[in-house]
Amino acid sequence: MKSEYFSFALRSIRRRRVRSWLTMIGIFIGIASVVSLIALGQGVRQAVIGQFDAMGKDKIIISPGSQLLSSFTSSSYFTDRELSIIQRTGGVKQAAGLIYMTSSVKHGNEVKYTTVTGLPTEKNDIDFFKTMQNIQIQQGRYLQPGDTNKANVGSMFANPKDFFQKPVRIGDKIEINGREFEVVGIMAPIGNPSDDTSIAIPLDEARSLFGRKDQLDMIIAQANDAEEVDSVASAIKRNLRKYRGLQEGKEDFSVDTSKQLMDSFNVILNAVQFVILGIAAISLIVGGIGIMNTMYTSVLERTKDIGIMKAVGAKNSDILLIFLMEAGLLGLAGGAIGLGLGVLLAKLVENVAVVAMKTTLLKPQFSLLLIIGSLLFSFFVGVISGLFPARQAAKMKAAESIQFRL
Amino acid sequence: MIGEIFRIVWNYIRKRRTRSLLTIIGILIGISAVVTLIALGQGLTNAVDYQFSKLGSNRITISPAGSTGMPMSKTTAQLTEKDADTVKKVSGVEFAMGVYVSSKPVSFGNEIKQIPIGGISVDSETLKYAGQTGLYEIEKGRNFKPGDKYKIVIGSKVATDAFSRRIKVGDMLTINNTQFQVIGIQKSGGTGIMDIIIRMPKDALRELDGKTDQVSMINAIVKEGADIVKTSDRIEEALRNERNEKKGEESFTVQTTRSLINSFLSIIAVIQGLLVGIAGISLLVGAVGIMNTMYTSVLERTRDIGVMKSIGAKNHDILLIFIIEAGLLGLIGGAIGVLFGAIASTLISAVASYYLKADILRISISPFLIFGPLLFSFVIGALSGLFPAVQASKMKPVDSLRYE
Repeated sequence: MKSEYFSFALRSIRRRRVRSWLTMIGIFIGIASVVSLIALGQGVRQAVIGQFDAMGKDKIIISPGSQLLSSFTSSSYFTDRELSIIQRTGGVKQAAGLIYMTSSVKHGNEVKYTTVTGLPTEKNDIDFFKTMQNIQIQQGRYLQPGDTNKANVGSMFANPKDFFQKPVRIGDKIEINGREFEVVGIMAPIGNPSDDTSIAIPLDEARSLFGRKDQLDMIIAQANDAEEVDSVASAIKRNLRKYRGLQEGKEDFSVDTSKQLMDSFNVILNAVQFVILGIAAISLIVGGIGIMNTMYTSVLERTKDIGIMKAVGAKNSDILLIFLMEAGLLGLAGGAIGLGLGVLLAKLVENVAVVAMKTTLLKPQFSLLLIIGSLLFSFFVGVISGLFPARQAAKMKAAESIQFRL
Repeated sequence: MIGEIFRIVWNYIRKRRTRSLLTIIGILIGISAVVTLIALGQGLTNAVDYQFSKLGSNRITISPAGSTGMPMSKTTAQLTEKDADTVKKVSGVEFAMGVYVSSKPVSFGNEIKQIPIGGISVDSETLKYAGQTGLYEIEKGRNFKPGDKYKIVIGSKVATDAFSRRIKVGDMLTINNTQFQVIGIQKSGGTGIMDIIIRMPKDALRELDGKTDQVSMINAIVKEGADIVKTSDRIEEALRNERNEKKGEESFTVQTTRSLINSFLSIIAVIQGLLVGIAGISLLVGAVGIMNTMYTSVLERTRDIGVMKSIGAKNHDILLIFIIEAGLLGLIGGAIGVLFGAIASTLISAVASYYLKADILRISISPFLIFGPLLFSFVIGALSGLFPAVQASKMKPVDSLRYE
């Protein structure tokens, strides 16, 4: 009996071929855009979570600046003494700091400005940063203890024209702020141009090169126990506050755990995704209205058939089911095509992003939930849109409808 | 003739009330979304433009390369007083001054805070032009006068928020072990660095820093009537020559107020374009809905078409009837959509300004924003109706009369 409804619905869809296609196009355009947007959003989230995961849940990031002075205090910094206060705070396993400067970099005859980071080169500090920042060296080697005038450069230095016209190779000499450095390693691509055009040199050399003795722009600490990272973070905050003689709530620095940073990133990403998906979903509503329209027409055209079916014993619920099934089927078919198109679209955007923006952050993720969810969703959009027309059909009186002429 | 066509079309739209209504809703939703987003984007653009125009359109800012426009970014590129003098001599420049900003530990009571300090020359010429560049206004106390040295003017937020005790005019602050007297408090500029800075005579700041003649940025005002773009090109050339640098490898950037606005507005435009594009998808879906309705309509009226043709209607008459019907569906949807969009954007801007307590959206529904979508929706409708209408116009009267 049920399968008979199904074949009945299918036959009706196939008979009005043009109309069915147009109705499905309405749904699949919407599903395709929603699917590709979700997949891309999911991909960005995955990439960022991956970076945080590499960092580990037990890390605490201490950076200058507060609400009051927010982003304008790029000239404030920490000192070695403050680093040792952090290192001595209870529950802290280790802590290390770095500095960064925008500096002139000369290669051959070309001069450009880019970010130069000073990284500590003691053995355990190197391991600490290497694991945390997820930095891979694609050629040559990482900075090591005792290095002088050695540098690691971002992946874009190795390609001609990405940064310098002439590619930088291992062993090349580059001039940073007037001092010569030997390139000993080229980092693997991180995925965004600002990281991939940066340079890392030993902290001590960066300090003397930039006249920033004793200064640190950021300190990263690791808690003994990931479970206690929050209490360790507040202990660090308290100690630094005391050292700087500040009142609670008036700090001119901020202390965040890696989890807090990830949470705040998630909040922003959620908001952005919510707005974009909301706007994209409008087209799904319009598509649903298209199904409703088609179903009303379909009911109208088959008024006579409905009369006959009722006369030979079909119940209201049978009629309802036939039309709901037809509507659901239109939605589902549209959704399936939309899903396929959405996957293609997301892949296309990924490739365009790599070529045009040189970022590999946009890697679409197609989870099982997304695939099944979008199919289910499109089916329900169809069924809900078909509800009113189907009820109208179910309530028709047999005697009147048999006499109906279009 | 056209009047008659309209009557036929209108009757039919009314006869199939449900279908017409649903088709119109399909277009209406898309148009209102697009109109709302364009109006909001336009409103944001207007607000930004307005804010920037208050800064003055005759200003040119020269900053060290890589400093991202902030006066205290950490960069090795440096500008000096000599550069400021060079800029001053460029033709078209009315006045130029080097601004020197450096962050210092400032103590008040028992507290110590890192606060950015801006050095200002306190000769009468600079003070006069500082007023014109809209650098700052004094709310309480007085501005610098020539000869001031260990005196400071503080930003409004420095006075209220930096320390637990409020700072008043006449209070003493200790900066690098030197006592400074607060002689004035600035009026709040609303946003940004102006409110969180301490200003002191440049001589005093250099004394604290022991640095040579470095400046963080150079502010220039263009003479009235001089072309700002040409002047900024001349400044770039003069500085390049003075500093002996090749084109494309400058260690400094020259920006006009306009170029600053434009780089900001282009970001808004990209975001707006993306959102309107996504919203436009729903218009596409709505158009497909019109096409569907029209195919159904042609099918249902096969017999009518046959009758009309047999009593002398020409192909293009039939074509016109169906295209007008489709266009009208689009137009009605568009008209209601524009109305909804205008209401929605006005409502959103009212809510936004209530919650953010600032006019961040200056909504103006331009005639272009009204008639553009109306025309667009009519054209979309007519285009969607094209294929069905062509099909209808090509029907043979004999066949269509027999259609059941």
